[in-house]
Amino acid sequence: MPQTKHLLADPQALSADNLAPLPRRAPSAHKGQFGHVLLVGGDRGFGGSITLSAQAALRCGAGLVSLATRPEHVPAALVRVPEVMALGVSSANQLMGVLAHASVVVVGPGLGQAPWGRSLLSAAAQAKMPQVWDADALNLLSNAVIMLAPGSVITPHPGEAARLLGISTGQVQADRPAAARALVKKYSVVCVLKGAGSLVAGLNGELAICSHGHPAMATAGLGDVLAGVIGALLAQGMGAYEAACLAVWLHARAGEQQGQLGRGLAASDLIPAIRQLLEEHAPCTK
Amino acid sequence: MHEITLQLADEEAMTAFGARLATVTQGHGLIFLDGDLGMGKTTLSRGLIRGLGHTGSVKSPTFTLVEPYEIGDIRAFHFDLYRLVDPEELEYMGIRDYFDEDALCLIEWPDKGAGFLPKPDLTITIRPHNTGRLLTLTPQGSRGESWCAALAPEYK
Repeated sequence: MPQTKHLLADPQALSADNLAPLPRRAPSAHKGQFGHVLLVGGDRGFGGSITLSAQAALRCGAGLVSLATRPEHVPAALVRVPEVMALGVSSANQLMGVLAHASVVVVGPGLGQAPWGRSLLSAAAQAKMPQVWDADALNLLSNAVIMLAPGSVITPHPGEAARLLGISTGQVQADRPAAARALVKKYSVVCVLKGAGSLVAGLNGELAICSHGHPAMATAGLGDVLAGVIGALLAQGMGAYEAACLAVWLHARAGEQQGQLGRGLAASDLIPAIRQLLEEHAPCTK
Repeated sequence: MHEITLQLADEEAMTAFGARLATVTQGHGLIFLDGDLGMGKTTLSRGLIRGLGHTGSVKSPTFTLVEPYEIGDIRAFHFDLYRLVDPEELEYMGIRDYFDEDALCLIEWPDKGAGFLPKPDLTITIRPHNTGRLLTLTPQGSRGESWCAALAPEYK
């Protein structure tokens, strides 16, 4: 059976040669052709994380970017990224209107696990467009029976993967490919298992490994950026597995470049580097 | 205040009553559901939400606290406050906003949110009765009374 051909093979090493490109844009291109990413998260104390995701989505070419976060985070987000449509939501009810306009949803960064985050996640879970679930969305997912929309991606780190699978972090790390594949099977989504040697597992048994990266990347906010990059690539029409592979590679290569400057890498440093790498990999025009 | 009581024999009857309630409310209003675990509050809610025209699954909101539904022009919110640690948590999740636009709000375990919930149009209390259930419908205000007036003749 063709869909099982990758199952027992070694993971494919991600490189510029085997990553899908984004299509070139026609001179007549308009923003409506490149999707609308909605980012949901940022409870009190965590407004920066979802703003980083929004910034990454914007800088990776999403046509429109909306941000739904705690109302008190909106002014800061607008100062940081005025191109993003920032909406303060204090309830799932307020999220529902904007959800209807999105083509891709990224949910989880800074979402928290309090009633606010839980209720917003329940609204996102009812929506039908492809989604990227990260961070607290995954912690909440491990406690609930929810099916994600087709074409979605989850991005657990080993601890989150362990909670989702009901095993220990040690067990995840002992056989990372098995854990990534088990998550694909359990949730019928593409899985990015983060950590040194990030893995991407697809629904047809595909498995890729990213051997790029840098120890300076061990800092807060890196995952928020990755989630935003995946969201932007999905919004521009890439498939979930291809988008996850390209995003993981861009993110790791950008981390390598920025890591050369040493400790103190800030997650937002990655965003311009990712933009440049994306352009080198898949130029916007001829 | 015209309280009515009705007997429902089984789960099927509970679901059918939910569907009747959907018709009577037309997808607007606030309903409290009282009753112990296993009394059929979620079954009643499922019947009501399906009765409004929802075709997908109706999950228990025990963990997420609220499950939202958008059914054509109707918005419905199914709350389960059982796991609420403190009623004040409702304030942090923007509870008042749910009641602004006259969506249909069903609230299981309303006692857990005491002090942070508005007065309902109707409280439905479910108790065991033989092998079935006894429902008491207590309206608070004219809307709830008109619902009860519409339902009473059917459940004598």
